[in-house]
Amino acid sequence: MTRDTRDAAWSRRVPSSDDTLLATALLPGMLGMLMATLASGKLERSPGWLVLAGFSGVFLACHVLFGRGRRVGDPVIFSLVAFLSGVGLAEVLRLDPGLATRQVGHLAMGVALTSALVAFTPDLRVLERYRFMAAATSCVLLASTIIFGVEAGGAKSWLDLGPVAVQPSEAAKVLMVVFYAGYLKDTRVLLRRSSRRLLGVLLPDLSYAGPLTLMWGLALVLLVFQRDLGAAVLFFGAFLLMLYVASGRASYVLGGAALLAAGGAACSWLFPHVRARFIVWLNPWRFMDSAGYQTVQSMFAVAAGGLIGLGPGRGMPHVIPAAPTDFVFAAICEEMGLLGGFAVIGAYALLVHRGLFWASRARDDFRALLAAGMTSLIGLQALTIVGGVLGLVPLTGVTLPFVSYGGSSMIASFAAIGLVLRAAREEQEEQEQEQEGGRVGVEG
Amino acid sequence: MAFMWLLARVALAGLMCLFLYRAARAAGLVAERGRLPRGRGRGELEVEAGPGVPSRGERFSLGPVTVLGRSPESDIVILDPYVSAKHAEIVLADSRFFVRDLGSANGTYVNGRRLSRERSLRKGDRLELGDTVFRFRG
Repeated sequence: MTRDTRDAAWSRRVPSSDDTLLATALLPGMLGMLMATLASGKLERSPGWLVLAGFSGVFLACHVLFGRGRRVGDPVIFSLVAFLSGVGLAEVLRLDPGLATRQVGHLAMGVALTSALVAFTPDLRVLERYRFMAAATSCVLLASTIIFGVEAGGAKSWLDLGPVAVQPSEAAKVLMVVFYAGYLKDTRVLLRRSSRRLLGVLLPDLSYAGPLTLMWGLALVLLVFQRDLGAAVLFFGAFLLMLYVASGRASYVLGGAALLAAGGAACSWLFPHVRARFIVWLNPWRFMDSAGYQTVQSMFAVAAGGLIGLGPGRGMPHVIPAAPTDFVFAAICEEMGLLGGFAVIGAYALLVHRGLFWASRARDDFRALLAAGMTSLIGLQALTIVGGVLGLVPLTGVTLPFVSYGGSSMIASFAAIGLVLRAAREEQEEQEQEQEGGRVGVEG
Repeated sequence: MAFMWLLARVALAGLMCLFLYRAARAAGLVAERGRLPRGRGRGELEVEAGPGVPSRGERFSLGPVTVLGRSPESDIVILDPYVSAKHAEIVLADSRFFVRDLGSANGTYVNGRRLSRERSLRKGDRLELGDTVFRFRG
């Protein structure tokens, strides 16, 4: 094989700057916002125009600042995020113009954070040094909600800071993945080694099962004290997926999933509001006037949308409780149809594919685990809430990343994707250095 | 007016799907210009025997370029004293995987034959580096 074949194989997978891809990503959101504004009937002084201009301005500015997408790490990931944000913003605008203007602010902050992470992070290995600080901060954030938290929707996960309410568990999730990546990098060789077998399944040595149990305990504490089922699933699920990436052992994942199921069963026995979620999931129609109202309304909305949807502004997504936040996917299906819903799910699938692609390319273990972890976090969160909205899995209140209304969740998702893009960019920079003149001492 | 709205609805759903298609193509998941998608270009190495790391039964999926060796920079790190730092590499070209030796001390063997130049891997091929044996799964 010649050098040329290697380079060709590489360049096929890394798209260069692509203006038209970003344009295609922005168009659906912009058309959606336009339709929502037209349908609302008042064209003059409508907040729709402001939202439309703000949304396209934020993403175009970022695109231009990063050399028309060349230095952003991965233009495909960037366009996918722009697409999801646009579609979400259009639906939020249609549901509540006031929320949409605030959401533009969240978007601007999120994109600014992503840009800062991609442009100014000196090196991801610097982040690795702070892994224990990340874990400690994460625990403090979680503890703060247990002590000072305000209850909303059965979960006690909000902090009331006067003018704004924030959800510290969103930031805690991202910090925890940073810690997992550092921890698993240190122990991955040990985790892969094991001698004992039980019924043909490789078992890890007991001493390495300790951290697994610890994370399980943390998830349960979250569940018990915060009554936040969604956060517990995400914390533990992301850890299991990263453990699988680091060790290649399905037995850890199966064991962990069994532990989570056991914990969930115990909690549903102890807490009525968790039990209610399970019972409603089994048959929402029996409770369509009470606990199952939300799920049933969301299923009606999805059905009403048909193939192409009713168009933003012409459906009735208002009747679904929490439509702009947790149930935004049902509203999207109602007004943008089955095709729109598929496109959104497909965008998450592609996002996961690209994130794992960069994780598999990364020559540094920490970088690989970080990219895989952040990707799993976003993918898992999307799966949890889309499944919940459609009644496929028990409903847990988490947001749809980049789409749902919510400042904390928006900024946390942008931070996560910023780290993935940073990992991609570092990988590309090393690749370029190598091509210029042999291996430069990149492995410290 | 109702017709215009119908057009807008079709355009919205269509644009969403168009973007997904274009993004998938940019990610290399869709065939371009009538070429076969890289469905055939999937390969996996399964460890059949080895002195420890990687352990038996472990599987590695192959990327566009996979370097095997003892150095921690390799894509597949083999902790085997008879394996060189950069021992061999496997490259994907035209939906096939080619293996070549990178000037290792003890050589790379495919089905018992020492490699002198690159050769393509076929399903079930046995790849030996030092004491470590892989099986290629197409």
